[in-house]
Amino acid sequence: MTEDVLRVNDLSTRFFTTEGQVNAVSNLDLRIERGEIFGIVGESGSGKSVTARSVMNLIESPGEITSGEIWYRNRDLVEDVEGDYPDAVDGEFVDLLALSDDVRRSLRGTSFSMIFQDPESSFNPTLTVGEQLAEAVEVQRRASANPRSTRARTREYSLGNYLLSTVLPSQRYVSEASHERAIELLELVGIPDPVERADEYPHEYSGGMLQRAMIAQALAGEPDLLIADEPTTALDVTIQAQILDLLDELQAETGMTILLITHNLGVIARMCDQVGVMYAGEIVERGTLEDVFDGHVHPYTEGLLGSVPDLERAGGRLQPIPGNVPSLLDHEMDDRCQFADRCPKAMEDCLEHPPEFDAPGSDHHEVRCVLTETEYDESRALPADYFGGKERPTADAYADPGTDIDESTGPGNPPRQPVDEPGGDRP
Amino acid sequence: MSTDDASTADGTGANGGKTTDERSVDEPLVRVDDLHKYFWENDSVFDRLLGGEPVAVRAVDGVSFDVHRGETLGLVGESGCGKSTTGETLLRLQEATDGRVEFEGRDVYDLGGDELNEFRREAQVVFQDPFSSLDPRMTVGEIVRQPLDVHDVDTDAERRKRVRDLLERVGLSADQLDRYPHEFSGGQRQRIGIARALALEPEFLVLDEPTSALDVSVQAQVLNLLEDLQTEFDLTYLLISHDLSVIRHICDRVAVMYLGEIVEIGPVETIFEEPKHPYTEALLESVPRATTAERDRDRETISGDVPSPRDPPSGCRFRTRCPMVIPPDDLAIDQDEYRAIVNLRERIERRDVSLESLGEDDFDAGETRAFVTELKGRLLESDLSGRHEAVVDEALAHLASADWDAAAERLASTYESVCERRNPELGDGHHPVACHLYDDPESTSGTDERGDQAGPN
Repeated sequence: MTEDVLRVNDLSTRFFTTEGQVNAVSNLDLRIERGEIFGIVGESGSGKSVTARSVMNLIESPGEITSGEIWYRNRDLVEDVEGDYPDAVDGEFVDLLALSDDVRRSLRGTSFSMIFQDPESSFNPTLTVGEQLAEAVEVQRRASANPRSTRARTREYSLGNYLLSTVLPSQRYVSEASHERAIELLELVGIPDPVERADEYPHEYSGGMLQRAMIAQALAGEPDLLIADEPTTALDVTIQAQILDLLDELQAETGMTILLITHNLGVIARMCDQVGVMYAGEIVERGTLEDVFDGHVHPYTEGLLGSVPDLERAGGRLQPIPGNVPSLLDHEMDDRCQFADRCPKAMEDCLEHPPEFDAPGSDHHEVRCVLTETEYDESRALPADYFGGKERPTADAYADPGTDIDESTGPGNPPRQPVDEPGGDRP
Repeated sequence: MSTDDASTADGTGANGGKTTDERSVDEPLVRVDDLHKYFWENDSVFDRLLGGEPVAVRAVDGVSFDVHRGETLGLVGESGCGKSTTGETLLRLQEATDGRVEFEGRDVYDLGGDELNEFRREAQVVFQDPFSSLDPRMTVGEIVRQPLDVHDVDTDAERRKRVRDLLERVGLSADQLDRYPHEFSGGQRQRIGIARALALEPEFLVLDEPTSALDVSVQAQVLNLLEDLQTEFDLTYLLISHDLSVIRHICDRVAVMYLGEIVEIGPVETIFEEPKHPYTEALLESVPRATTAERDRDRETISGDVPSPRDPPSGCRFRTRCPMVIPPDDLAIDQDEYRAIVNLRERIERRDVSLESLGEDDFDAGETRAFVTELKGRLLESDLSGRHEAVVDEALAHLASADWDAAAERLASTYESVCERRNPELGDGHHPVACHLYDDPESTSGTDERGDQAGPN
């Protein structure tokens, strides 16, 4: 029996910069079921990390969640907040955006926790790894002793303690029990000799080990939802394989839900049950792994998959997506399909912002593209130079060295023939 | 080192589309012979005064390969294996510690004056990071034009025309000449870097992770561009990358590096279809494929981390992680058990076992037994079979009196592997591999034969 653990409705996160308003995430909907691994894939700047940080309430100025609801299913939380925030409760769900910052902060670690891309810079270099883990354990322990009060966590750590700690090295924030638990956690994530390793500093760990330690830290509060933001991007491929195995095992053991954010389609294929493909702040295609990899409809998904060189076969020519990731500045965005200017199948219909259509495949398969309902019709195709602009030629326009380089080939139909004969003279 | 014509012809013909013209049977364009590059730590005057011994970081430790005209040789490995240092050293951007690099038959490290200038024109490089490899205070036109100015090529007007042509060729428009690098995206900047490298019409390009800072869709554009340019200008590439799918896509031959050494070289098809070295196999196994079949794929990944290049393991450098490390001839033991003992030895030799928590030195007989049992429980995950357990017990008993050498000695006498005694040679031929699994027993021409795992060395 599956149930949604998280429902995000109509989430918009904007950044108000000196250059203008950046629409990092626009009207995003998301459903994550308990116990599944949901993957968000997209290129840099597509809004995947901002989505995750919005759920964690980690958006900092000049960013702001401007609209939306984040419904989180948790009966205990419902009981706790019913009195103070009656509007925020709906059955077993609580709308996180209607809660105060204090309450939301108390959910970090116990309900949601996050692992980051770069383990080297995510640890404090002046504390031992064991101490930092124990600290996380301690925070969770005090938080669960007195659930919705954030004051509880700092009560035992006063200014006096702080001053003492500068002269007495033994003055620690953590208790013996927390330290024990930290060692258990290190063992859980497969760090050999956890007892000795707990007393080492982050620089004594390798990148892979630190990533394990960070996972241990995230697990300290036994969260419902673990958000992994590019957890293996900084790692070598043999280490990446180890970390993915670890996440897989932990998920199977604890049954936790994982929201996995990555740009690597291989990692998605390796880990995920459900996938959302993000482009320009929206999910353009979502569904099961099979829906997205084998039954995809959106030309962007197609392009993304076509861009990855095949490891199993020496393939022919790659089929890249022409152009670049679009600007998310509000005044530069039109209300149309955001992918239309790079899309090989752009039609007149694409000038209106498409809703999400149900697509063939599983019940979860939804695509934000008119091609779901309409066949591509060349007579209604947008002219190749419709979007004009100087950025166009950066596309793969000059793929064929035989053609005159001044003859601009539009993004609508870039030459797709592989080059067989050596052509062209040296200029 | 001898080169053989067979590998040349096969190498360049492997990827189709590449012409095997008459030149390819000649001399290789670049010949690297036993190249070493060490970096020294603790080597300042201050360190010397304090009596510190300099420590060598062996980034590149005896690397030999040829690059033939018109081919793309891939150099693949994990971070820290020395692939970028190899690329920079063979271009003489770093001084080599030892070894020889020939470019068109001349020793690169002996060049001076005009000859060196000539070499600098012929051999160019494209760097990984398109953000830090372009001067932010120069316009794109100036950046691409700079090599022409430095080498004083052509007249002013011709240079201007050439810069425009180059920019258009790499897919930028010539009216973007006066813009600054920050106005471009990552992919566009990498195109600028490529245009700059092409300005002097080089023969040879070192591409140092040219696409790893780019998104996949942009990466595909740049890879296609590189392929087109190679055909158009008859370029020879040395492509350095950690991304195996990029290597497979673009290379004719591949050299796999591990900890400063090349462990296997061969045509791309052979390396990917029939890898010989256990490290190559492990690398290929570790890459997640972007298909729905990936979840059910049988993966054999390796454990552990890359050892430090300051103190690389003796013998074969991969032996500390190798899933197929070779036990001594006279020993009947299965691989898992042997691996466990090898790991234990490794730790005892590094003295990386904490004894304090087990009590201080000097135990009597009964306490020693308890000590051994306790230590074994901590160091070994599973039980060993009878005979091996006895040997391990004996060795651990030495640790009770903190006699590390005796413990290490005891284990070494029974379990020393050929993999740690001798560093396997990377042989010659079509598809050489540096692994004792492929050693000739006597004199049979068996580099292609798969050696028996427990077989003679």
